[in-house]
Amino acid sequence: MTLHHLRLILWSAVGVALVAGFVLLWRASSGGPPATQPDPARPLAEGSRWQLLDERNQPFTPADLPGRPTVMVFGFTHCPDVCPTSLSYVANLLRSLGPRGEAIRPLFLTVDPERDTPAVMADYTDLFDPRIHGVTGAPDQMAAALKSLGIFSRKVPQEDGGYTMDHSATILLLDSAGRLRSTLDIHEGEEVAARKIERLLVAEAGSR
Amino acid sequence: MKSILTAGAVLFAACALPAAAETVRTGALSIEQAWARATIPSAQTGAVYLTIRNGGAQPDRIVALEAPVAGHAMPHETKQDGDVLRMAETGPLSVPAGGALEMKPGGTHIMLMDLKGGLKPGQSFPLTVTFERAGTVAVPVTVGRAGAMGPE
Repeated sequence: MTLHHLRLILWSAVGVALVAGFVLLWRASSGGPPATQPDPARPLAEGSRWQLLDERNQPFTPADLPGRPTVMVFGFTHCPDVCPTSLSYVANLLRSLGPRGEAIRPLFLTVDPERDTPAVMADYTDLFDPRIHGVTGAPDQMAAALKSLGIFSRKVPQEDGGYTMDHSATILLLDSAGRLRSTLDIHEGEEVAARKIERLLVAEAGSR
Repeated sequence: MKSILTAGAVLFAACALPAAAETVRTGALSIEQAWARATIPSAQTGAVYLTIRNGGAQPDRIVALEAPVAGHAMPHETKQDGDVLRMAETGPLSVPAGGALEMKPGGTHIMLMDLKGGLKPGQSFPLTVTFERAGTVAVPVTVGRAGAMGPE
């Protein structure tokens, strides 16, 4: 082997190492292979495994997300200000949609399953509109569900020994295939939310 | 002395309950539209919203809050940080000279903790507010629907 050959081999090794390094960096910065990212054209939480309970103590799983266009609000019943505001928003929205609102399934999912039992969720959601159904579950199942739906929540201890929850403000709008179609925002007028829902209902009627 | 004043103020408010929507005045301050939302009977927490106008030349601030329906009451604020909703205790709420302190859903509110039996629509209760300058006043609070977005 000549010195020239040795140099060539060494430089090739450096090149291979550099390329491997870049690939590793890219994978780390993009959070792993793209295959793990949710596919927006597929039903939300498809392939996830969790089992929750609705307010009538019936199981609620990822397989229950499709079926009807669904509005999903996240919050907790010990939240005195913004959660009633979000549920009022949805209740007013249902009222403004009139009979068309019957096609929608409004759900309130708790981020505080330790305190929110199915019975508490039933009483609480009925205060706003009996059509809104509460969903809770065992804490580990609820955590898995929230993660697969892309919802953040965190327990925040309070000085008096109690706690409150920080959580995502997003209200999800799913189509009847369980795919994420849009999000609602309580800072937008209810007519904006009503138009998003009407557009979804028209699109679904057209695709039948 | 303070407790006698408070008891007197509560008694006064209890007598004045049918006129809950009335404006209450103390010193340079007027307090309007105190309302709360109905809760489930087992609820531990509730929120009161009100507007305080200060016609005086000096700022004032709330130093104590009390309500017979709750174990304690304190000023709270809901903040949206990106897409995350957080609730936190605020410091003492101040009312600027010649200005107003307005509370509404999704922002500053008075949080009622350890509710004793929840709040029912149509119910009224006194909220005793102690100001640094204007002293103690009992404000009648009316309870609206759980889905109310303002005084009804």
